[in-house]
Amino acid sequence: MARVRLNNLTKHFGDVVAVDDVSLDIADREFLTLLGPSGCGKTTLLNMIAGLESPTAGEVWFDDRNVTAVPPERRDIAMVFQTYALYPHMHVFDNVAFGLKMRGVPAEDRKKLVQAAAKTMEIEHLLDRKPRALSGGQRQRVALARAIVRNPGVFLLDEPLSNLDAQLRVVMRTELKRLHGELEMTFVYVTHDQAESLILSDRIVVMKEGTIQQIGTPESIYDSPANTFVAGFVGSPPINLLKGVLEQTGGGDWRVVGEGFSCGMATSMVERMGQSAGREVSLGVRAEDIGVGEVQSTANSDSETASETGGQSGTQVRSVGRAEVVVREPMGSDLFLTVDVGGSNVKVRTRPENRMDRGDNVELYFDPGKIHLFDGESGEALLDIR
Amino acid sequence: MTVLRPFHLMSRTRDLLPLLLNLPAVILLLAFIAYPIGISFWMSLHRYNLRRPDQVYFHGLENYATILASSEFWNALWISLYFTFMAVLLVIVIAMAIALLLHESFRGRGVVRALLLIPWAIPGVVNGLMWVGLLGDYGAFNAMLEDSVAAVNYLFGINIVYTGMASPFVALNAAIGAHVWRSVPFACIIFLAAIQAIPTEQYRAARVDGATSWNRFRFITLPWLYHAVLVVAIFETMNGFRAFDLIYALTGGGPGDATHVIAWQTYKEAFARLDFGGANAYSYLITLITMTLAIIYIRLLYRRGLVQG
Amino acid sequence: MWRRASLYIYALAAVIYLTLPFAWVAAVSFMPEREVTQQRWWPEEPTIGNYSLYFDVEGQSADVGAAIARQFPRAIINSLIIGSAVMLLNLTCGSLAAYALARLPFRGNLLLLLFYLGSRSVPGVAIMIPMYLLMRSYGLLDTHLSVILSHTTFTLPFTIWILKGYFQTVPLDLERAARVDGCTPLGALVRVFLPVTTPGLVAVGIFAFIASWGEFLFALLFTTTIASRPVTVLASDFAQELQVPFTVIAAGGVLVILLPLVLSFLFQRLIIQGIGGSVTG
Repeated sequence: MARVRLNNLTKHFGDVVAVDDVSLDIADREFLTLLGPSGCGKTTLLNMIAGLESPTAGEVWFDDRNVTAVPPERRDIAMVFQTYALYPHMHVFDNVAFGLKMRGVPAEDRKKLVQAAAKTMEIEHLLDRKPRALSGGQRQRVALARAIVRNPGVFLLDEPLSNLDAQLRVVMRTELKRLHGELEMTFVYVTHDQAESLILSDRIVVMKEGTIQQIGTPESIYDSPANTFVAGFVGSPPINLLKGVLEQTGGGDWRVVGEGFSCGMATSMVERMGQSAGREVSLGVRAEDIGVGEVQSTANSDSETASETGGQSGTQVRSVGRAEVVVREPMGSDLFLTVDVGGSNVKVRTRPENRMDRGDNVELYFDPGKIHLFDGESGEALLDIR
Repeated sequence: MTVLRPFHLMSRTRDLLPLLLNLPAVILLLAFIAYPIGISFWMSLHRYNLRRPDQVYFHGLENYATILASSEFWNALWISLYFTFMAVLLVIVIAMAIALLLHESFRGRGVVRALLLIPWAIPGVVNGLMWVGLLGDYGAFNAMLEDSVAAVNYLFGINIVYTGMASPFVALNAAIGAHVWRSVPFACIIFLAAIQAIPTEQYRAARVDGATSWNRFRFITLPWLYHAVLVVAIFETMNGFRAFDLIYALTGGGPGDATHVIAWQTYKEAFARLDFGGANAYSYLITLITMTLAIIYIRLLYRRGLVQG
Repeated sequence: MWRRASLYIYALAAVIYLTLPFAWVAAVSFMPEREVTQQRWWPEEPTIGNYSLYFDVEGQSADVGAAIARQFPRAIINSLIIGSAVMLLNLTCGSLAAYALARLPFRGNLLLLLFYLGSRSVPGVAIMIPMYLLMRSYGLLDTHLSVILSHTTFTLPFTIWILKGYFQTVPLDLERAARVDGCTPLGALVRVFLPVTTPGLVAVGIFAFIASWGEFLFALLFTTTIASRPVTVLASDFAQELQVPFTVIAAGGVLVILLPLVLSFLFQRLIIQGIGGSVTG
């Protein structure tokens, strides 16, 4: 059991700033994920929590103990590495028992604890093998058993699933979630896989170039990304971003107008945003928040209604513009269409029954309640629309 | 906070610790390689003959001038160049052939691999003695050579007189053969490791593209081995110029001066004539030659690396 | 089928090339003297008489070469002392330096690496005279120490080079895992790093030992009496004495080769993998 606090942690490697002034408060028994592309500093941050790297500046606290200068062997942690790092010269039993042995746990107790951990990870039959005789998934289980056997306060995982094949990854993902439910430990999990982070975490920390972009629950990160980077990184397929300008029509309505589209929005939203006309923005809209319809023969771009096949049915939705289907990708339960909107590609998720195909002209409808506006320059979110 | 001190000490001495770990090795090498090399150069600029210890004086590059004007030096250099060139060539070809064999899978491969290290395990002096026997009057190889010369004479109706190790030509090439025999295993180990590092998909891809086995060797194996070949070439060039123990035991420099390789010449200069000044000048010239060759090789290696990069 | 057959012929040729010279010498060492003059390949009436000269401790025999042969056991012990010391020095100095080069990034490591490579390319003859004078001025001539020091300096750069390559193949995460599991930096080194790298250490250790066993030039220069002369130098005396029958020389040769041969057989897998991988890697 441990609460982990990071105060203004910074790490330089020569001239490179790997982690830049990061502060975090991780609650006891929380499952916290550090998410970001490679080189964003997430592993360095994890290593500093472990004590494997010493910070250039800042502090690490476990509960009310400042552990910044405490070497890893005297922190109450366990760690699973991307490469598993099983000791090749020891049998599985000794691998799992090694940490206990180093901490002076008597042999009989060691045996019991190893058996228990092996049972949890379902590797009892592997205990007398050498690591090289194990499959990738089995190694992963041994690595997890080695970590949980000591029942540490903080459990650190560095991309533990990235060396597994896709099917096994799904199995082990579930396994991890089960472990977190059973064990009373604080999990800090590093990954570059946004799906993993959404599924597993209580909270996600999105990082880029050594700094925190956003901290929040999976839902809040997904629904209200703080900037275009977070919006683009979390969610699959990535969010559609369209460049545009805020404009006011003669009737007083506000809209975002860009190449090939014009998306209306409620005046109240714009007022709340407090932005003047002419401002450059990026409009973000996820594939599942876009409706697509066939072009009506009489329809023009301002048509009030259309045969709408996605988005919010029942409400009145305005088409934002016409587009041409470029790619059709059926995925079983869903159909993804890539459509060309004024030269930009937009991904649309729709139902698999949809027969639209390459070359068809379609109308697009953005769910006004689900669009995101970002500053055209900085990429910061302008307004949480909901 | 006393607990924390050792860890802090570690990180503060980040640069000191590795230097400290290198210290024993560096001291040894400075004392027994760098320092002697300096002294050797200094001595090469002196007149220093042990027969006349009272007459030690500086006389600049005169030792070098004497050497470069002497026919013995040019003879030794020429012999060493021939020796080294042939040795490098033969070692590469034979080691490559055996490495390619060991890369194939067949029953008994383990046996061949176990036997591979035999020549390498044999000390140079013993190797020399061995070949003295093999090529001596009663030697098994000598008998084979005699028989084959006789056969050639009979077939072509000519009359080559085979005089064994008394012939300068036979002696020098026998020395090369013995040197090569002992050098093959090491080169073979390097080639084998390099061959095993070639991704098998490359061969599959080449097969799909319709390449013959010769073409697969020519266009996949060889380019992949370029680095290893150069490494072996560097090693063997240095070894070739150093060849001494074998010559000492096999030919003693003879017959005449036929196997006066440059290392042997230097040894003679120093410990037979006791001319330490001249011998040091000799050894400096050897160093210069091997270094020049090494630099050429390394440049080749580097340039190739850039091209592949 | 054809391919198989040609492969085996090829393999047979390789085996003959690698073993025949030594096999003949080994065979000769069991021949009585008159058989060798018949240019035989195999002893008709095998004898161990040639070897008995080498274990003639009382010095009874007055045969030609007996004086040299009698000193063999002592010389082999000298070689063992020198080789073992060279091996130990290589392993301690070499692994410390290689560990620093492989694991601890520091300023000047490239410079050091070049220094090591450079010192390997210095030919022995180039420094034999200053080394001789150096040993003489420290009164180390005709001692084991002089040979040990010179052999160590010649083998060390290679050892460091190979070990650095080998150490770099060990994932850093192993030591990190050991730290997290409760080891101090030293504990991680002793309990995880060293056991994992044992094959590489054994390979370079054997390599250094065999190199020292076979080295000749410096051993010849520095040693004068049986108090320190290693067996290679003693064996070279046969090259100077013209009357020694080759059967006796052959037996001596077999005795000199025996230990390195056994070692290289026992550790061939480690040597081939450890040396080969690191040189090209």
